[in-house]
Amino acid sequence: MKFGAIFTNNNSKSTGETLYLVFFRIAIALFLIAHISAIYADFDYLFGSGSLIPNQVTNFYLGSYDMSLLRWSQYFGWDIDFTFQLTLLLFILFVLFLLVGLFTQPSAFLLLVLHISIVKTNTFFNYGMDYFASICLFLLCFLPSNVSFSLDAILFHKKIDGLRARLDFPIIRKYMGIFMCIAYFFSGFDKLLGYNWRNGESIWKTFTLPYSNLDFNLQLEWLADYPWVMIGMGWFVILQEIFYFLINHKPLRRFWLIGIVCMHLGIALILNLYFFSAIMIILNLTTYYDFEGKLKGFQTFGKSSELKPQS
Amino acid sequence: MKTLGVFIFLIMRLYKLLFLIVFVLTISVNVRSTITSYTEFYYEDKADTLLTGNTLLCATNFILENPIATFLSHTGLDTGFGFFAPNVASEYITEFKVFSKDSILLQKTNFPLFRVKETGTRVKSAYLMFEAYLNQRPDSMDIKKCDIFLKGLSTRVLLDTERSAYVTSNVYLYHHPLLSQLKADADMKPIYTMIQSKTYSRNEVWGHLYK
Repeated sequence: MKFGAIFTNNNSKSTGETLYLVFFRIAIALFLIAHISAIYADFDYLFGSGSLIPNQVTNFYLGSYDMSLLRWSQYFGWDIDFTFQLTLLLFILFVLFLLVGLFTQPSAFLLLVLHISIVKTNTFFNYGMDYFASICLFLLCFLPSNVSFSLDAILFHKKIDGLRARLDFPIIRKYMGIFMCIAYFFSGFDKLLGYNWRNGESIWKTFTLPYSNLDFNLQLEWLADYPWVMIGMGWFVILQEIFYFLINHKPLRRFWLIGIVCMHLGIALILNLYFFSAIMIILNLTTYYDFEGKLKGFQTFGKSSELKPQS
Repeated sequence: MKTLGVFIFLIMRLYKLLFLIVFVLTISVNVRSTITSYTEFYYEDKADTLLTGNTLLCATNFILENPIATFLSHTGLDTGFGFFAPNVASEYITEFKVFSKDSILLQKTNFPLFRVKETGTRVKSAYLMFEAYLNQRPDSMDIKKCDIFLKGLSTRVLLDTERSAYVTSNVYLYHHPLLSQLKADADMKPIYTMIQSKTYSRNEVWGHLYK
């Protein structure tokens, strides 16, 4: 018995169709582990009792229904530091559940609650990545990302086999694609409205912001002599985002996907926004990477190896 | 088998409905954010008047009402996706000079000591609030918020430096020459405009940060 079959129940025709959801679940779980590990050392500066902006100040700006660790601690009457430690512990526990696909949707829901509670504790320190992490967790609350490669698929195999065989996975992927098209359209359209994006100044400004390009310290000053490069890059970003929906046209998909991934790698390289870039790349690959094709290629390769005559 | 079929049918309908809600809300949030950022960028002085009378903006007011507002806030869907648009915002630089009791300069730094890079990224994202020093009344809530943040940063720098007695904290608006400015003057240097300067002594440090 092949190892993979334990997790996938390989006899199902639709395993390939579900791979994008499996990738999404596992990639987001790994992403969250990496991110929480990255901020753990300075957690107190950001969201703890020793925060650079006291949590009580942020609390003033929160809506009455918003969750935050400060509010949880006040609600339960717990010490604030105990609340932080408990939240982190639960966060790691449910991320591991999500990773292995155990009680996947409830785990994603609880993770969303914990994630929102953490980031709302000090909203001033939030940036784009936090919003996309919340969106991804929200999607994982109801998407069937546990139908393959998950402990749920073993524990509840009867129900999940039935679901996997009959759910329309391609249409769910299309819905995710529409969401991405809307997001990129507005991102590109808002840039188009800014004259500085059209004349290359915004790209130049991005390169020369005092806190960008600190990690690799690329020498970019010489680009000032070639403004057309920045104009070209500005238009490339605008057009790539506004016309992102063209990625749905199969012959263009590979090029558009490479282009958008390169753009996010550029953001990581220049603006050093690694986690933001990573989550956007995960979303793009989830929605448009050809996992099924790769799986078929892998299986064909396996079969041809088996049939190869012994010399 | 028939029950399962009905269940699947209902689940697929539910997905359709959920995504439809997500699409409508995402479009509404982004239309709102596009109109707001465009108006505030191009018509800064009369933005409030223009925004109040904007029909499309008014049509999306429903997203500000509960429970929709709460739903958006708890799912991350309350954000507009026009990052760095329509204009890449200017950045602010902090400078902390830490002195001993004898006024000897012990340290000059731009940030408190962060153990990880991601903390710097997050803290820098809060620096945008320093814009209030440029365009808000001194007694406004935004200025008070900035003062609290600056004091938090300063306190941390002060506590991280041995033998420190007080810290002078400066906030600068950073302007790098634009392409058009470099065209006119290739030797133009970056401009640092000081927009706030404060001094904090150890006596003023927040007690809860002593740990």
